[in-house]
Amino acid sequence: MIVFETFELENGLRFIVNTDTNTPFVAVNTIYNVGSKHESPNKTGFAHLFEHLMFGGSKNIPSFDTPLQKVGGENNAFTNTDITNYYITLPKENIETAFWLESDRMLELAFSQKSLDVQKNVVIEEFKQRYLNRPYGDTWLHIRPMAYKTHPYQWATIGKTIEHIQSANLDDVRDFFYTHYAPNNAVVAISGNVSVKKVKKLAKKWFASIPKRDIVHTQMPVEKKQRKKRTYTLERDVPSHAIYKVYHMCGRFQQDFYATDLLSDILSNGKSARLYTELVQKQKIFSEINAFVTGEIDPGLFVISGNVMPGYNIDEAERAIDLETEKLSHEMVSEHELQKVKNKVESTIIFSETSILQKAMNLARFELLHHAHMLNHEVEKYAAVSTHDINRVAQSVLCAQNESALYYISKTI
Amino acid sequence: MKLQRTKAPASKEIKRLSFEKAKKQILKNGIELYSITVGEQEILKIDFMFAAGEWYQTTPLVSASTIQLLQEGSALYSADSIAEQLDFMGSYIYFNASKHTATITVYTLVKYFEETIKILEDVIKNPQFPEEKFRTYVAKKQQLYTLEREKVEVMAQKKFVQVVFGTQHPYGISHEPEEFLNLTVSQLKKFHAHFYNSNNCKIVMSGKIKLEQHEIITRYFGDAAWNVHKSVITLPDYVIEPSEQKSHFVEKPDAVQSAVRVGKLLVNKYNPDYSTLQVLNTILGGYFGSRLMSNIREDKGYTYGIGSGIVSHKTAGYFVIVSQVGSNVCKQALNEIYYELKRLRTETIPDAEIQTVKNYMKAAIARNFDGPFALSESFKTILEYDLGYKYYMQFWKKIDKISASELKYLANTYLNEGSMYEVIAGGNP
Repeated sequence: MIVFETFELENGLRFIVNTDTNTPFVAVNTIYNVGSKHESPNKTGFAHLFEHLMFGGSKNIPSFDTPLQKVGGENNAFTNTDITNYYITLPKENIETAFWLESDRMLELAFSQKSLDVQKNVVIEEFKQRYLNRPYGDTWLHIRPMAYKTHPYQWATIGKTIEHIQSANLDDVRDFFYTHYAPNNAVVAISGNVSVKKVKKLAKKWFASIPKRDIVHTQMPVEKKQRKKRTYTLERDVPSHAIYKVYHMCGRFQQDFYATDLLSDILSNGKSARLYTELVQKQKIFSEINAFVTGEIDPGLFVISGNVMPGYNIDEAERAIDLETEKLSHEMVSEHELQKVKNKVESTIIFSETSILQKAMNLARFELLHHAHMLNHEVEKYAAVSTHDINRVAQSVLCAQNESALYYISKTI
Repeated sequence: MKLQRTKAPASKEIKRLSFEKAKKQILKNGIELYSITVGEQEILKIDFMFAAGEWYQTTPLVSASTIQLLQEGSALYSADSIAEQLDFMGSYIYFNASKHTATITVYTLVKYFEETIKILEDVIKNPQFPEEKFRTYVAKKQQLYTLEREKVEVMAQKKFVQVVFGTQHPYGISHEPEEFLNLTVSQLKKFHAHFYNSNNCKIVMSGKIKLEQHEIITRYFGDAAWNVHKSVITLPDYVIEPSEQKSHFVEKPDAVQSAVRVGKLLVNKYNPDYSTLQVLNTILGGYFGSRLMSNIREDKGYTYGIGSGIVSHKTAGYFVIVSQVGSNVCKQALNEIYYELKRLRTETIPDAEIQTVKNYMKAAIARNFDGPFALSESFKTILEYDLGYKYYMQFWKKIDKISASELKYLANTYLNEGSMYEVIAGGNP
């Protein structure tokens, strides 16, 4: 249970404050309602590139990092398909520095050509490091366009290609800023050793004068229901075969999310989960196997991925997974097994509440995309899932016509 | 009054480091139990530490494999039953062997403390190492290692420690997937029998601890001596044998990036210069605003990330600069690395930069004492090195008093760019 207060400034910027006096630090988390799904299909990777530019100086402050480090602060950011998230932790005495820095880059960026040129190179190196230069690194560059035909989740946040990043120019940067970066399109959540009164005072001082902006809320296209299984085969110089099976599922804040998430836990959360005990330990077909949900806001993906042991071909590997998913559609899980994954979720939530940064991030995300107070109802929502729900979502999600499979074949075996 | 957006708000330095210290208790069988009672949540972390790291193995991979297989079946519980019970309680268990220490770490809710400890007792004292589980483990690990050695950063790191420490020293050895095939169950059983006993165990507990938790730990681990029997393992005299050749290249054709390691042997935590060298290292490559990041990422865009670090093992340490850079700009990136090393020796570090790093480092140390789990990790470090909390207090004082001339002197003493080894893994430069 996280106790917090919320308030809103006249420009539409919402604040959430959780006071935690167990720590001498404060976490300040600013989330913007813009992710790679808001990009144009011809300029992908831009939301993430833009995140890099947010550290390249703002209207009145030439460097974001230096003054923060000078007061003992740490910060970073990440972008995903739905949102861009910036976070700072710093000693409680110096909280105002975070307000000063975050408010100035919300007010206006410096829009420097040098920063754009350098960060394009940095992001291209990131693209190489994470997606091109390691075994199986390009997996998601292939899965997304196979699973999504209309929704912009069809490209990865890093972008479709390096060329898209190369072609970004300063006009794009300006446009993007004024279209998406605004107090009325953001939430600031604060957790740590600070009073609500102090946050209110600082919020007003630093953020109130930032003008509200016209944010165009584009309607996201709805992905058409898939009718037939899709497959794609890649042959690469990798040490073993790998398989990725993805299935369409509901969005993060829809009713069935909780049952679907628990379904993935039954398959692979912990060493007692089904895929691990059956396919790694007993049948020894996989060296590693995982199931998880992407948890995206619009309808997302249920993912099963595994590395195949030598001696098995990709068909045998896939058949073994299918037998496990069919079991979940045909047979009810026991109350005990369901209770086990519920307990595990509850424990994970309790442990996450020990971190002020984790609390600030979760509060901000829930407030931006849903309602902050719903964060304290997560455990109940998981608890309410029945064995029938598990069976029902298994039948509707884990079926062939809802599936896209990527076969990653080793040329060296 | 108009808002002054160009001027930074007033700020304060962190004046003192204060935190909750671990309380020591010696249990009946001699085990040292340390407790750090902090936090509001009903949770606990428990670490069982054994002097049973790689240093103590006479056959490759035995230390890591012994600890990994503890959970694969004990006298009272099968592997499935261990996994099932721990998952049901939402307890998390981790097994890790470092160079000197093997640690079993458990995170658990207070309400499941006793049940978790009861399972752990059997897992730690009476593991069975079933043949079938062992074979599955070997096959899995072989595949994992085969995958890992495809990565340029793994290639470079393996080569680097080998170059610095030599191929026979535990700090320099790395293992190939095929070596798993030489392991046997009896080696693991022997290693366990020798090292996992009450004379070689320390326990660190942190979180919401009450008398009851003390009693439980004492009951399961602290009464009679366990697994203590006389056996002798003679370790070879390890000698550090650095490579004669300074520059090394590991080829991975078609790699679009090269992994870079530049570094050398360096003093460890026991040396009085260590704290000052940490400050110097932070300036060079230890934080986002460091010289290497500012130059090679933020000015040139050659890399997604670059950093440097000092790794302290118990009997020696090393310094290393780490990066992955575009294969087409590898040469240029190396030139900038040496330029920045040289600048530490030849130019005086400006006061403003020193001030920033001082504040940054003090906050970083304070973070290491924030909350039960961080407190326990910081304490485990000094416990492993037999250093005591005064190590951190002296570190703090040293940061406070650091001077530009001292930093320059140490850069000349320890970090001369000519003394560095260089390892590149990737496409031919």
